[in-house]
Amino acid sequence: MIELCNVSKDFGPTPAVSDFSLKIESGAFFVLIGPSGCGKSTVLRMINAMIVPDKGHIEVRGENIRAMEPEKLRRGIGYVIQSAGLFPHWTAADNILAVPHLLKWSPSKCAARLDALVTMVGIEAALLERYPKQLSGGQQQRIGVARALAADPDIILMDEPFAALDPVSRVALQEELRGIHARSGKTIVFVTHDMDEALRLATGMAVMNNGRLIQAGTPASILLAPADDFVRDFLGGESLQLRLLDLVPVRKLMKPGNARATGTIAAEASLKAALNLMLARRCASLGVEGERGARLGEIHLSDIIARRDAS
Amino acid sequence: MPKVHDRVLLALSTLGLAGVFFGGFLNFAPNRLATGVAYPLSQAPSLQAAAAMAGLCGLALLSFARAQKLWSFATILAAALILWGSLAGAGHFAAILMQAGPPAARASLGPAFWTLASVAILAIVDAVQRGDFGFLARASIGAAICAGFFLMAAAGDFDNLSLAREFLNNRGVFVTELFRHLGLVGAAIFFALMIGVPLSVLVLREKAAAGFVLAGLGVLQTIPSIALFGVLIAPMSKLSEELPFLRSLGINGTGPAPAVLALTLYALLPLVRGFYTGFSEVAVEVKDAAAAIGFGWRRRFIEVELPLALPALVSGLRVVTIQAIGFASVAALIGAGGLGTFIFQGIGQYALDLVLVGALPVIVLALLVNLTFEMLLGLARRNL
Amino acid sequence: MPAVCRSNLPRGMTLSHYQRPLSHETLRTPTRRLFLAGAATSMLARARADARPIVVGSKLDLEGGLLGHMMLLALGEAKIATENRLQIGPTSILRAALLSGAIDLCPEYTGNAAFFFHEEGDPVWKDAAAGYARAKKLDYEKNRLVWLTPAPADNSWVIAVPDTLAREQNLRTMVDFAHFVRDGKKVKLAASAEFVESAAGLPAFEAVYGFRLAARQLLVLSGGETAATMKAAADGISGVNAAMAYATDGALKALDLHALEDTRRAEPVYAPAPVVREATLASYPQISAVLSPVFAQLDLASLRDLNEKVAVEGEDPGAVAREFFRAKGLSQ
Repeated sequence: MIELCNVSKDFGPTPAVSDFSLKIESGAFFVLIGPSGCGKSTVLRMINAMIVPDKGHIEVRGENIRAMEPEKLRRGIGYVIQSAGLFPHWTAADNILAVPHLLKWSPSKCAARLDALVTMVGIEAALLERYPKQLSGGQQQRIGVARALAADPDIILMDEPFAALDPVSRVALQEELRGIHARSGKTIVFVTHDMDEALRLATGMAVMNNGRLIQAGTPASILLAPADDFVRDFLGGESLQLRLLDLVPVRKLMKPGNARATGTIAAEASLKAALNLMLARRCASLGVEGERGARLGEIHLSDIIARRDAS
Repeated sequence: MPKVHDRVLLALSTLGLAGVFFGGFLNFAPNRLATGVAYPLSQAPSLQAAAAMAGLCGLALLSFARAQKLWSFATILAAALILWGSLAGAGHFAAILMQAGPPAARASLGPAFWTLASVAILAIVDAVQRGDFGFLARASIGAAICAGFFLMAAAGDFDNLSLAREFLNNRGVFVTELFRHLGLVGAAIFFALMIGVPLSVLVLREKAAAGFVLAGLGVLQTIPSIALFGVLIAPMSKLSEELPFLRSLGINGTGPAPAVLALTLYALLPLVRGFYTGFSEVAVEVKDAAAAIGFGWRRRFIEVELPLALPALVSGLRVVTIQAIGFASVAALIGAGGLGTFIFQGIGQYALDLVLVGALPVIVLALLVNLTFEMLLGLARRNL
Repeated sequence: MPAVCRSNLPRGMTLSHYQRPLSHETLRTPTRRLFLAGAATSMLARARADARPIVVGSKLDLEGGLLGHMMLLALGEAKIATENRLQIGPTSILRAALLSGAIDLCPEYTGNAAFFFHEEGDPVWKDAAAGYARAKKLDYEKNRLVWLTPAPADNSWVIAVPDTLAREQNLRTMVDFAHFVRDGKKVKLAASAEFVESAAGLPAFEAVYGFRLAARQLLVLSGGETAATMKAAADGISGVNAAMAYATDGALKALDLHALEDTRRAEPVYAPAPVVREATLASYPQISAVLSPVFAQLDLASLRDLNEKVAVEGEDPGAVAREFFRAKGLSQ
């Protein structure tokens, strides 16, 4: 879907990105992660030609973007930034429909799309006629996400979109976004420096430092085999094992059984959540439930501790 | 002791009362230059004087009332009573005095009149602003107040006032000078935009040039206006001698050309600064977002940057226009004419009413321009 | 007869005619008219070629407006196209405009030439004819500006006192005033900084009449408008009882002020005269003949009357000038 080949970019004397190659598959939720100033935002902005690389080339949907008109390319790629970047002089609805208007959609098509987006992103209809300054940070960012999705692009770029939000709004939006990704199958490229966020969302990941790609792979593969000390440290050093538990659903270590338990947990919850609940209830096992509350089996503390590889 | 709800109104009415008691309402002199005798409001025709005083007392009483829509109307009514009462009073009083005096006698408006008129106008402006009136309501209030004045003027109520005499003596040239004044201002704004817009683009593109250009324009701004007007005469004359085509256009060392040039130079700093701050204060992420969702530069400028910078642009233009209206008065000193002609002739002849013939329209013009720009600014800021 | 004289020119007429200092009298001689007529014919072609309206300027003050309108009217009567640039600005601006060619013709005072050429101390300026001749010579040599026939008036600086004071103390001339000051009577003079400091101003009066005003006896007004100084004396503002004024000021009478006569001629003569650029005069040689009868009518009394009409009545100077033309039979 997106392929960067030996891409380099300098701003002044120090290279921002050097010899960077990456392939992002269609439908991936791909997270670019690294400390601030590592070049992850530059990589993101090169994908929609906001920054033109000095060397190398970039292909989007199999086409070299250098041969494309930048405006046309960008209209087919959603883009969300940290502060939402809404147009202060337009209503929320006008902001959302910015690209459809650019593409000259009919009013009825716009209205229908607006309805769909409002439901998809979870926006109260009453907010649509408000101006950005009348909205909270979380509300603004929902509008920003809706704007990126408006023309139904198959690729969405997100540059630390939730970094400025309070923890509650952030988690809510992350869940929303994960749902949208799961339902729509869009390719999302997501820049963050927050490892928890990355692990919660990513299907694929790339760790960057000093403008270089250090390691790419699935979150589990990186957590299990950090390429070097930098990656290990960045992943959280001592709490690396706890993070791994975050990646594995309870379902994977569940055993059949129907014994009385002090608590139950959903099969799709993470092992970390199960461990957390055991610690809270001071118990060594939990019942596992399916979607409708049907008992599926049990999970034991000893199995979590003895786990080898769960990915 | 009742509670004071509106300190501004109380201060205004106190000021008005002080003006009435301590200042002369009309000054009557045997001729245009002689110092005359001051007559207080109490000796003016009683009906009009009573109306003005009633309005003044009304204002004082209203300052103890709670501000409501009705209150605003009452305040405007009381202020109008003051304004019309003192205008009509002054006119009729002057007629009575002039009938008894020598033919060269002059009746000039005294401090009490000016205090009352200012108090009335300020009270009206204050009430209109607090009353939160719509545009139409404001316009009709303004029109009603002005209509009163023009009706009295048309009826010849003011003909015996010295100010009106000066105006009538110069009636022929007044319109010419007014249009010359407006022409000077208009031309200066036009050329300032012609130069200022490209200069702003340069300053916005080359941030390094910004400090340099703004500092240079700042230096221009500090040159005293009469000096700048004077300094331009020699080079402009030289230029028109060298280039006959300039001369054929009427451009030479004195007259409108150097005046417009000087006014243009003065206008550049506020204009470029307004444009610079306007465009550079458009948030980077908004411009970025516009580009990233596929706005071309033209659309980005027209639909995003321009509307967001508009309030600063309009403010800049407002400063420039009002400043030019004031400075254009000085242009009279280099033969460019304009309302300053009356001001400087009046100063030279110690005829203060002639000074007012030039100065009052300058003030009114500045206020009108300010009002217009306030409205434009309101429109520009509507959604920001 | 000198060799440079050409036989076909009238006697005494050389090409350097303009450069010769001339008195009032010589300017009015028939020879000059003859010369001008001849010059007019010989330059006719050229005159037609670059005949553009004469741009007439004047100072911003009241008398400037009056004299300017007189010149416009006179030229208009002679069917010469003019452009009105009257009341252009203060002396310095008017002078700059004339030198630069922004205007072609304006009234100027002979005494001001002393100031233009930095000869304020020279006694030549105290003589009407000699001062005029000097101004004419200097300005032609340096700037190719031609001074035409001046008016028989002198708008020099004077000191004026309220009529009541003049009567009570029997102050008629500057000699009386000098006595009055020397006797230690209460005097406070309102004047411009220029009058107090310029060698041709107050110091000249003090030297010639032998008195001295201390700093506390002066009220110096930076603007220096005579209207303000006279007003101060008329109203006794800050104890002022004497004012700097101009001899032809129209406000003197209206403010009941008496101008003290400068019997010993302390001040330079300020005779108003039309000053024209040489090139303009070459195009319109008749200007001189057109303007001289008008300026001849402008004596001290007429100028004071005219100025008074504008100053006291606030009448339009153009209208006052037209009325004067009618009254004197200068218009057709």
